[in-house]
Amino acid sequence: MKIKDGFMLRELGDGFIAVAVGERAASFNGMVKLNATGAFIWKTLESGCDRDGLIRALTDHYDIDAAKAAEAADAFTAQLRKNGFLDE
Amino acid sequence: MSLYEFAGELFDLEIRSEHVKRICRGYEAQVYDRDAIPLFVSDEELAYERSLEPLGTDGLFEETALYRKICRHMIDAGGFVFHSSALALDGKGYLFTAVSGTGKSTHTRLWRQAFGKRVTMINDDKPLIKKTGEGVFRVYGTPWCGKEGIQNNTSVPVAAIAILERAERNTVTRVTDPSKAFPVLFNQTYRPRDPAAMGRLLDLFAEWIHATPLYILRVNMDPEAAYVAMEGMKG
Repeated sequence: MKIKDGFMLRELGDGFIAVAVGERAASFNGMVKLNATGAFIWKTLESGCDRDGLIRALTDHYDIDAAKAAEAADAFTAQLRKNGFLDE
Repeated sequence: MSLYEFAGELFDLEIRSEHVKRICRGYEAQVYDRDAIPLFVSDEELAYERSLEPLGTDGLFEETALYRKICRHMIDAGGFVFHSSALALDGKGYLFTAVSGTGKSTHTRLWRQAFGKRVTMINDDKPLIKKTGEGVFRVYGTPWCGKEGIQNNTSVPVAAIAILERAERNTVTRVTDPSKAFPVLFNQTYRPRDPAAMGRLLDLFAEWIHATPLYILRVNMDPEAAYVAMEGMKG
């Protein structure tokens, strides 16, 4: 899975925000607010990876076990999928 | 050549309608020391505006399309539009933003009634903001100012930004974490599609809201609202 093209992620103070640019701006006029973990997952998914790859990236980056990482990955990707931000 | 100056930037405008010529009066350039950015609204751009709002007139479509282009160029000059009612009190700029229909213009009218000659209206709807130094931003009057035509061709440093909400009682709350207010505020500016311009705008806008005191004003329509707001925001 991969974040669709046409989004730009930016760090702002203690949070992150993603906005649509280019053709994507015609279909998505909103903004996505992300915390640091959300932004990490977003960035990982910008280059695309499968569920296991994402879980690995999370356990490598954060001091958490695979079960906790899987929970975070599934919850966040479900949100992204629901909002139509993911190419499967 | 028809030279106009908005927020200190020089534009050479090829204006089609009498309506736009009329609203731009008072913004003719006084200095000719720089290259002007040439702009005009094409037939296609006019048609695009018409497709969004079929009931308008060609003059209104040109007004909207031209400002969109000016605002796009402003980003390259370190500026952007901020949908708000902006006024100067004692030479300092206060910007009031809100979702449509909340009563921005009504609130700034209360300030004019309360503080009289101390208040100069900058722009009642779509002022330009421009960075003029490290962490220093000014608000500028423009001809694009809403139905009432309330604007002045002048500028002052921005002292505070207020997010307006209707309430029974008048209260002022300082926003201590500007990033929380970012989505609400960033919705009030024109967002370019070009990724490079979007990147510049995001950085500029973030710098602005971190450098400028931010408040949430919960106000009613009574004269007291202006006094409570001013006292709470004067810092």
